Amino acid sequence: MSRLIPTSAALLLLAVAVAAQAPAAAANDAMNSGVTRLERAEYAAALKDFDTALDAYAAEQRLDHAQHEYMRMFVGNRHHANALMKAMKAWVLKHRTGTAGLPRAAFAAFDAWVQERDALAIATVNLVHNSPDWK
Amino acid sequence: MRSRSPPSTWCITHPTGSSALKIWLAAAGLFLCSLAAISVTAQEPTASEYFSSRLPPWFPVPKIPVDNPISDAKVELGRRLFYDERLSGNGTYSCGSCHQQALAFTDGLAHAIGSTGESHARSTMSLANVAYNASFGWNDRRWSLEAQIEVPMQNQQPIEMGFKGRETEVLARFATSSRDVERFRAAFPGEESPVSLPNMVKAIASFERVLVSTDSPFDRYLFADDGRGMSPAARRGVTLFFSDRLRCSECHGSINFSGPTLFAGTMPSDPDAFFHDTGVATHPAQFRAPTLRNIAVTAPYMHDGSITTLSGVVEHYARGGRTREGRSDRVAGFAISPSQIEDLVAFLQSLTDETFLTNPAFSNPHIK
Repeated sequence: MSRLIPTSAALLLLAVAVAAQAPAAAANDAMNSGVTRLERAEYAAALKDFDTALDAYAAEQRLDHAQHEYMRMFVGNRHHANALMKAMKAWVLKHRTGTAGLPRAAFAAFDAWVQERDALAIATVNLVHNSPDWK
Repeated sequence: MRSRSPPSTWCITHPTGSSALKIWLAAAGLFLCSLAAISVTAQEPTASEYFSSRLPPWFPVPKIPVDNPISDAKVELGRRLFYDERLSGNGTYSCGSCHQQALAFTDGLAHAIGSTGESHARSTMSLANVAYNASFGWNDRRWSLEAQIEVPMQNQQPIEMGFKGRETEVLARFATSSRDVERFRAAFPGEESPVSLPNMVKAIASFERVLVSTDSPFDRYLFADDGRGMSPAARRGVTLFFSDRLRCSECHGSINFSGPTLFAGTMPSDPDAFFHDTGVATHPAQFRAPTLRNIAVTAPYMHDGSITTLSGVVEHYARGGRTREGRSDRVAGFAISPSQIEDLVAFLQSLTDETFLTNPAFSNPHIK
């Protein structure tokens, strides 16, 4: 019996750790699902997945993960990045009155980052593996 | 009734006796030849293989010509030749005399000066990211780096490297040096006489292809979300540069902020459309848009070095150029305030890649 107590405590700790990871995993799953849907040209469904992912990241106060995902797509696939940016802009608009449970400063910083990156993406749309026509 | 002979293919699918031995010997020979071919070609990586560890993920792989595959040995030979004064007719000049690394491989002069002191009508062009160029020279119809490299070597009006007429003498300087011969053999394995002018050109071209500039503050800002090197003025300048009003990016576009680029898998659609009259010369003249990467260290500007500052260049385009006859309709002029000129210049300065300008891998190996 005495040996069961440390084992039970360890199992309980493990369960707590797993539970604590669950929302982050759910956010990542939603993000990955969004990318998969984009690759299948299921654009509207992809945007919904991205919105779900952003809600989950915000709940964990880990919007930096969303930023990281956007930058990864920006470098590797502008089409995917543009879709995620559209979702992020919509998400910010949706939560502007409530800040999505985030500290006001954190939400404002994310909002500003989204606006800046959106402007950059629009300005540099041709600054990829393209060659402009010269007329 | 005559017995039917087996079909002619039967012997191939069901070999017996001596014919079986011949087939197996032929197959073994073919296999060994394939291994030999693989072992030779395995020494020469593809462009993707060579550049995969040398480029950030947002930069395309440059195009490598099939007849000049790249290798470390060839690049190193090219670097040594690039900076070797023995490559000029009178032994006083190297490619590096005009293409200085600290100035993004330009020379800071309005007009290039050759090995005999003759002045060139044109300003030295930067070699930064030259691997991506679809054409070479200010207004030359030269479509490969190898073809362009021969120009300064052979040019007599004016004399640049002064190679012409002294080829045998110049080659002998290298062919009689056992260390140089060894380097040529390493760069061109399997060749009986590797010390040759074509191989010198190929080696120098290979070195120039690795002169890739990708790490400016703007690159880090745009592709790595690291804005520490971007001042507020530079960030405002980004918007101006890519605006429809100023149209800078129409000519200085793509990943290289230049005219048409060429990299793995792409081809220029209309080679004759690569050149444009920017209203600088007193008579109609069309030029290629050079890269704006590291532009802050490559003054003076334009094909004739006639504009000494970046703000001067912006003002030139704001006025719509100096001359109107033959001028491109893209050089139409625009309104811009003094503070906006400062912002645009700040952005151009953010295209400076200090890593590129100081990378020991691109430096002169003959200086101890």
